[in-house]
Amino acid sequence: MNADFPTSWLPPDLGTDLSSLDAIMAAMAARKERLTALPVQRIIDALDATSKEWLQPDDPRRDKLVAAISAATGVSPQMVAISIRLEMESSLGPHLLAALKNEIGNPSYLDLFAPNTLLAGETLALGPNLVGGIVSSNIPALPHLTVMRSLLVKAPCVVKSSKDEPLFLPAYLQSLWEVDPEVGGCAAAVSFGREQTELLDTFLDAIDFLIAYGGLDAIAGLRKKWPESSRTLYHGHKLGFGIVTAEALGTDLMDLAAKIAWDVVLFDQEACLAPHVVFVEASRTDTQSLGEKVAAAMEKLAAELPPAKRSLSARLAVRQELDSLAALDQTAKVCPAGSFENGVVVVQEADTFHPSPLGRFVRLVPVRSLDAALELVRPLQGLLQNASIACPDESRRRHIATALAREGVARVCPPGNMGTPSMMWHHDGFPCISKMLTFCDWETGVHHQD
Amino acid sequence: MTPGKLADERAEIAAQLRAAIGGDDWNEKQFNSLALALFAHQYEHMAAYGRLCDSRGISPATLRQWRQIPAVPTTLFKQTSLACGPPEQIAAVFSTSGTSEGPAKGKSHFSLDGLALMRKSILVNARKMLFPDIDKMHILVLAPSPELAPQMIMAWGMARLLEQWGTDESRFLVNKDGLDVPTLMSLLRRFSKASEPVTLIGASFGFVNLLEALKAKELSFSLPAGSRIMDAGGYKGRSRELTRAELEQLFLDGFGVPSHQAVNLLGMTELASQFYDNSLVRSAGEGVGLQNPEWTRTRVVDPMTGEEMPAGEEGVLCHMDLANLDTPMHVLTDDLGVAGNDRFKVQGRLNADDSRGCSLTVDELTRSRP
Repeated sequence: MNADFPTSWLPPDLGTDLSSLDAIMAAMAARKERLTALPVQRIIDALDATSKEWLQPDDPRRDKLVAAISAATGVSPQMVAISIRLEMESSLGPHLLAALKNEIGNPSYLDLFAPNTLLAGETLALGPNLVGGIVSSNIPALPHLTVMRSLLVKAPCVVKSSKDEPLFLPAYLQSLWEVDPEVGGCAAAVSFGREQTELLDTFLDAIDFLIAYGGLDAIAGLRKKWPESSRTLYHGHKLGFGIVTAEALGTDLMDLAAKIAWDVVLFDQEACLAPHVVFVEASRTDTQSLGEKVAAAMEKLAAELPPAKRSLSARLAVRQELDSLAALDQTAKVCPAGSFENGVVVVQEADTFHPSPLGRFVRLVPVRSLDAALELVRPLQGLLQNASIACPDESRRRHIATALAREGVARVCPPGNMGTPSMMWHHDGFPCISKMLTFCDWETGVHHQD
Repeated sequence: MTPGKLADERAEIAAQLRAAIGGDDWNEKQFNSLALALFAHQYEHMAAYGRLCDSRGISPATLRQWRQIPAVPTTLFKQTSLACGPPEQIAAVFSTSGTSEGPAKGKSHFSLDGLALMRKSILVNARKMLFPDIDKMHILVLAPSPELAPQMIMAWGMARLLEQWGTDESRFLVNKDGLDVPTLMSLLRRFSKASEPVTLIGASFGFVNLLEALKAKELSFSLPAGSRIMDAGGYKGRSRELTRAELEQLFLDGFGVPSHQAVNLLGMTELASQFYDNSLVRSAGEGVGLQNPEWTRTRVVDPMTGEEMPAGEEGVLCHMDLANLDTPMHVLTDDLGVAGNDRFKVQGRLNADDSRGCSLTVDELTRSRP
């Protein structure tokens, strides 16, 4: 990035200004034709170059943004910086191309009718006219995903940024515009209060595809206005967990503990990918021994990535949880990560899935068998996102992954990788790019070779 | 300790507390020594509470100052029975409404001694804050009677006010079909005509609903001088939220009761005592806020550490109530508040669901489970 940020990093708060919102929606919709005319490779190149800009080692403008996001959200500057880095590292050209190939086979379908080697003919893929994004997440750097997905399918987009963290998105759009104004000019950020129902209605009326992130209540509210259909990607709150098999405890325990700790600490456990619980196929004593090591690793990480400033309600939730454990569960072992401020590991036998109050609070639950763990997650079908499996035996690992997939888990990975999915990941189990497309297959009768 | 011995010990502490609550020579030293005695009793006889204290390394042997007494979060009242002594010594159990906080209801247990102590606390406090100037008055309660709602601690407390200060025409006006509006209207007309002041008592959200209905029908009263209103609690998502000034305007428009005769009360199922605001008793120029009776303390704390917040800063309200004989005396709420000048204010409720990210919260999971 080669210039200072504009004087205001904030998207204009539209207040109750319907006409400005109307104008923004119309302006973006009008760019559909120009965007459609650009080759998809140019869009990939622009997004790739933008990611690389954000990955430059020294960038005072980015540092200022990191400080501002940290001040606004309470997330430590170190965590904001690493979030941006991790997100951008997985948003480079090769990842975007791979994601397109993974979901639609041939990215050229997005440009013109292109040969389809499986069909005696050619295929054309068409994106929406205007995508509306509603991002609630304060995981720094996540809102750019909505922009990337929209532009990749040649849909202009207007993204309503979160009131709690409105800074990153406009800064990202600015940098994209600087890299390639033709591409960057097809995305806009807006901001208005959730109580502004007329603005929301105007926003929804103008779009033909919705990508919405939010809590279960927020999503339920949106569903009333915009029922689930093929024209929607709803990303409601979900959760992650981990599984450690008995054999994994025979490997390098310190390494395993460090990886579990990393999964808990990254994004302060606020991502739907982060584990609430890790099921350990072991005795309570062995689980406790692992728990102590995880707590020690979390303490070490806290020095590197200080925890976010917790809100009063988050602080109350931790207190309620700790007091409940102290009063009611005499066998539970509470291991602070040096201090409760840094995080907590609770080793606790459980006959139900107890979610975490989050903010670096993880439970390690000893289980007799994998089946016992599956029993505990089964009631949460539909809410399961991500699971880590620590299991050195390949065939057993495959068995567990299959069982978890059947329970509705949308991603499986080794410990230490929970927070860093690839661009190809089917978020919430959906093909998030191809779900935005409609296809036309032209059966010419001509067979094409690879 | 045998149940008999426990009952004796409890009766002895209750007698000390009853005497103290009725007395007018409160000081910090006396408060501290009564608090420590009650804590020792609760630590010994409330197993779950004892474990909570042990986890923090706190016991009667080590404790010197009431501020160090561990507070119990209101969530724990929903998770287990927090009572001193065996079930046969429990005379009444009250429960929270459970409407705004999921299916679990918090329960509060009382022995006969505990009920007597609560009664004393209610009467001494109401005499000072609500009825400093009268001996008998019409009292109309816009809530169900204890017979109709035996689990509702507010109904039990209001019944004590009626017993002590109510005329023969005083009554509860919510029956199984809801508020008996025709009777309320007819009584208010009659009292107005006879220039007999009346006290209206009810939940804040109930008043809002009633007054908005009256307004819609263009009905209003000008209740006789000396009439007063006591509204309890906040809204808890039950009705549209109003500022205090808006509610007071509704009281004035609908009943002709001015703000200095309209008293707000904070009560909780987990507490035997209540907190009135000082509207009725404050001197000119004094600010309005909820006031602690002498046998209680309210602190604004950081809920994770229990440390007091710097003066004037927002935190979580934590109440100590020496009238809580059988149920934990120190309660950590989920109310957001501020304190100053020996009074405090409730600013709102902490939202259990204000997670920053996209991970499912405990609250969401609780609500989404079948």
